[in-house]
Amino acid sequence: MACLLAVPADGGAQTTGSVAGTVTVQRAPVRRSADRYPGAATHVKTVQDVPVVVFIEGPVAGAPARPLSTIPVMAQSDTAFSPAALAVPVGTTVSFPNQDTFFHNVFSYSASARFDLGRYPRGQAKEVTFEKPGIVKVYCEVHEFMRAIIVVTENPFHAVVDQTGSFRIDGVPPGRYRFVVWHPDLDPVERDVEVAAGRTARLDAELR
Amino acid sequence: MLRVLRESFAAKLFAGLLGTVGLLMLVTYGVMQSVTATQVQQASERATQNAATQFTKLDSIRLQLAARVARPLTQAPRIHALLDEAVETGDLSLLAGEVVYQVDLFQLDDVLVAFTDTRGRPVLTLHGSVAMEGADPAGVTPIAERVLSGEAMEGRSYRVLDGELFSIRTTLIQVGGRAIGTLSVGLVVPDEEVTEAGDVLGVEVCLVVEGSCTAGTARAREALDLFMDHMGDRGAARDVEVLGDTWSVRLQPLVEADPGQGERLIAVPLGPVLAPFRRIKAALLLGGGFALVLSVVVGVALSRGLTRPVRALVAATGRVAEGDYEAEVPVTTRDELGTLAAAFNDMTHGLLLKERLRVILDVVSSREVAEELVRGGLELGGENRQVTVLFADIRGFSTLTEGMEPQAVIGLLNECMQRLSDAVVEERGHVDKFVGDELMAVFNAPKEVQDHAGRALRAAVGMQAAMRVLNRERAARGEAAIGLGIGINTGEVVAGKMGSQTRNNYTVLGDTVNLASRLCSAAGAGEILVTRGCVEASETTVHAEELGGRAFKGFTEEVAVVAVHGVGGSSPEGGSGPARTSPIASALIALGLLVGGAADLPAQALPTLSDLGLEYLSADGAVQLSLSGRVDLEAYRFPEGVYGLAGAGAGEGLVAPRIRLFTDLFLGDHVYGLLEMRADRGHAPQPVSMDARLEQVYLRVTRGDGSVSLQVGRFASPFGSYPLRHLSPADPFIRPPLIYDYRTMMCAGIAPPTAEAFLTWRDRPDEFRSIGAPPVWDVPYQWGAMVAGSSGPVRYRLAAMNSAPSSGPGAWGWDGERMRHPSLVAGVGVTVSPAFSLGASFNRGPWLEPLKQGTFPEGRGRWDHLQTMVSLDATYARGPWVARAEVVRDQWDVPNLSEAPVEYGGSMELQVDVTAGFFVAGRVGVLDFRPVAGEAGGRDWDYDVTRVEASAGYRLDRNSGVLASLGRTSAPSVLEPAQGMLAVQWWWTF
Repeated sequence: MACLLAVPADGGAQTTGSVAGTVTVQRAPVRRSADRYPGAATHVKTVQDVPVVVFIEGPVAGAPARPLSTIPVMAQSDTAFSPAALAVPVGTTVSFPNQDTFFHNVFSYSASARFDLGRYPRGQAKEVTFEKPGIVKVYCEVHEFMRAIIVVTENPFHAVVDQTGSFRIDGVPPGRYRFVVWHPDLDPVERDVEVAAGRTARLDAELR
Repeated sequence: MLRVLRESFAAKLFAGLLGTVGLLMLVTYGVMQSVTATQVQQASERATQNAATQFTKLDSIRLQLAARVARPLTQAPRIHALLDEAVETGDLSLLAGEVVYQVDLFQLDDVLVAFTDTRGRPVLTLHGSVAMEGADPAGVTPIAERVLSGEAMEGRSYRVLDGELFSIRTTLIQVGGRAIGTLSVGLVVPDEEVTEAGDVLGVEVCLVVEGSCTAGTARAREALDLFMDHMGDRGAARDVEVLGDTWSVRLQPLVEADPGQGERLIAVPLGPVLAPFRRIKAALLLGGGFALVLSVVVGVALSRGLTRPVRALVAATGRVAEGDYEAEVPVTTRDELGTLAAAFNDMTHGLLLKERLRVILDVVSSREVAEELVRGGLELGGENRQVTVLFADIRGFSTLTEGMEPQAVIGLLNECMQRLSDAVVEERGHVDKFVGDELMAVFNAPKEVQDHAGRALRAAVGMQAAMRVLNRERAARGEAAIGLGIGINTGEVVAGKMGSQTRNNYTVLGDTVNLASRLCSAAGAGEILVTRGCVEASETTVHAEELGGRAFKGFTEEVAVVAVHGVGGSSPEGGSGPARTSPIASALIALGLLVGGAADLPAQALPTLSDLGLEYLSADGAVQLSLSGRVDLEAYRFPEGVYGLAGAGAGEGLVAPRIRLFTDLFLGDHVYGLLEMRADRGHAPQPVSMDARLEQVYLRVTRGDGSVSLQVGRFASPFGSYPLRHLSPADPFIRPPLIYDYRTMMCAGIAPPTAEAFLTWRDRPDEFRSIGAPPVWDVPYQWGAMVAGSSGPVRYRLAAMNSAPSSGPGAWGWDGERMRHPSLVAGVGVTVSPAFSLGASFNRGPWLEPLKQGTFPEGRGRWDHLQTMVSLDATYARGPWVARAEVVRDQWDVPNLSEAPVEYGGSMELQVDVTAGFFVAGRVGVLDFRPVAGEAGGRDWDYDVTRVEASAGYRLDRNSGVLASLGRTSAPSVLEPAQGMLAVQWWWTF
């Protein structure tokens, strides 16, 4: 803790490194459909898309504990999970508020967290604490096309890949780590990356 | 022997009888053999067919049950999540638990459930609640692979597990169009089901799967190998002698499309079919023998009875030959020989009479005259008599016969004259003479007849009828019709023998005859012209028409002429018009046929264009081009016609097809384009030729999160709630609601100059509504741009369209209105709860078409003629019930009026899904035109309208259905009176 606080803010001799890169995705195309008449209520009938998540497998020695000031939120809004991907350290509690005018029923059967929050109306939220590391696939029992993932990690180093496919993880203590690039529909890519202090290591991956 | 046959009739008769009976027996025997063979064939085919139908029915019930079991398993997100988990981690316990729980709800004894992953590899196979071991214990992989590859939409297979036969249905498990695996549900085919069905049908049945009989009747199991030995290449065998009976055996594949899944062996016992024929054969042999004996006895008796009278006849003939006309044969019997004898006697009498009359017949021309002469009732030299004279003349005979062979002309003439003189003779008239193409007949001379005028008229009507028959025959031969003109007159004539002493004719002379001839010349083809005197003299009822006085050549005074159309009960046209079915009845029959036919339609849907692969999807999924279409075939009946709809007259019906072709283009996630081509008989169906046009074409760009979109092009004006659901499953009627029909009420021919002119508009169709309110049976497709979006439960849209809201379909196109009449449309919708939503919309724009600008009042422009519409709508859906209601306030700004005319409209509909795919709906629409103040006080500016409608629809399969609507519109207007409509529709999306 003291070590972390001792790091100069003006960017002197850095004790940690970064990892950045681009993830490209090769996916089978999904057939689309559209409402032909104007103003009709739009329904997303295709399965909710989930972004790619990059994280370090296993615990990281010397990783700072980063207590979260707020509870991470995965809302149900407009018949979709928002956001569709979260990465949280073990022990984190996530809130699932319903922001739609109708009911949802959030559940997961994943080994690391099995839960079923039942149905609750707009304005209410339920919480789940994730005690075990692993990937938790989240579904809604009412809307089959809604889905999301929550990556529960043993360290605070993770990133959700943005729309352009790039990501960046900062503050990683120097060392060799196994990085996992993960998406629910595709084969994950695992790669060992050497992180040096003051440097940005590159990690480019292609998911198929 | 042959000599005896040649010379003795008795021998011929005898031989004939024996031969006939023998031949009859042989033929009967042959026919019976062939009938037996046919019957056996038919009986075995019928029994096989019945069995096949029965088993297919039982199978389809089982498949439906399997589909019901599969539904919660393929649709529940929990199962999707658990299957994913099971594939990923190999932990099957949770999936098995959930599946067993779901399947147990059906309370079925023995269910097989198998899941595979997206490559067809089995994940979990459950028999009842027990997970089965092994690589692919239920053997579902081959079928699953076919379903996953898209080769089949649904897989069917048969498997034997633990000694039980399972019928298995395999389907894809899809989430949002993406396959995540397959599900197979198998249900047991119980042995009792097969044996009982076999007993009921009287056949032996066996289901042969994996080479052995797993379900079947006892005898079929016993003799399976024997039956199979007799099987030919085509899976059928006849007359198999096994188990002490004769059988017809067939093999049918259990799955039509996949014969490898097993076969159904059906053996029909022929014993019961053959038994009655065996009995008939025995009876035939016995009866035939008896008939032979009887024929010998009867032959002898008959031949004796024949010879005697024949000899008597021969003797009498000899006497006649010698000139003795008084020879007579005794008539002893009443059979043919007796008749022959009587005829012989008549002949000799006739010969005698002819001999006596020969001298008189030599000098007269007609039988009637000869008879009169023979009776001595005719004075030679002439007498004055009251008669009716008839002249009939073929019209245009010379034109008709131009270029014809003389023989053909004579033939034609004879053909006509024979029929004409028959008509005269029938009425006891005397055919006086033929002159070329003319016939002259006299009634009441030389023979006296009652009501000669009436008889002549009847004869004339008969002649015209005969000509119509002749003309029909000629028409059938492709020959031209022949017209006949007839003239008739009644009066005094001089009648008598005219001519020299040796050669003379009986005839009539005088003005009466001349006038009849003149009338004949004046009569047109098919006409009968007679004098008033003739009609008055007639004792028969005459259907006639007074033509007034006419002058004729050679007559100083005008003659009152009458055209006769018929006599007594007959009319010249004969019969009434063809029978007409009431329109409602015929439409109901059509609907019945549609629905009845639908019941036989195959359960599987017709393929769509995308099923057929007519779709382009780029490798990265960014570009998608899809083709699809919809066909509507509509039939309409309008009992009272539709005002303003050309060709929709009272009681008329019309068939209107509509074909729409859609091209959907997706470029990435944010750009969507639509092109809709349409061919139909107009937006309101009319009996005109098909018209093809571009109906919709637009490009829609959606913002990243999909909440806002901009759409530019030609599309349905988004005013009101109906355009959002028209021509979709949420539109249960064929015609739009009343308020949309009458949106174009003010499609006036000119701008009303004064308030008074405006207030008389509703009764003056010529200036303001040239043909009533234009029938508009669709939503307007206009050019424009629209921003539409949603935020939470609120949806909104704002559009600028190029056409006035009240313009008719003719002005909807780009070329119709250009941007001269832009109208602003806005709408908002709120989903209050999943069941209840509300909407409101607004439309404002000039209502006069550009052509009417010249009629605007001084200093006024189109912006002084604005139409403002506001609508509120609500939809409530709960369970099978859907209720929709909408109210519209329509206001037109009319200069020179103290207040703007306003109209309120409302529509309410209720739809209920009675069973799956079948719905009924009812709708009520009203239009209330508000009073407008004028000099003569206030009055409604148009007539209020109400409409009641009922509709029923049935969905035949995934992409086709039938719909029938019955409606009645009532308005007190003379221009648009009450109208009914019956319409049936068949739709098919492809």
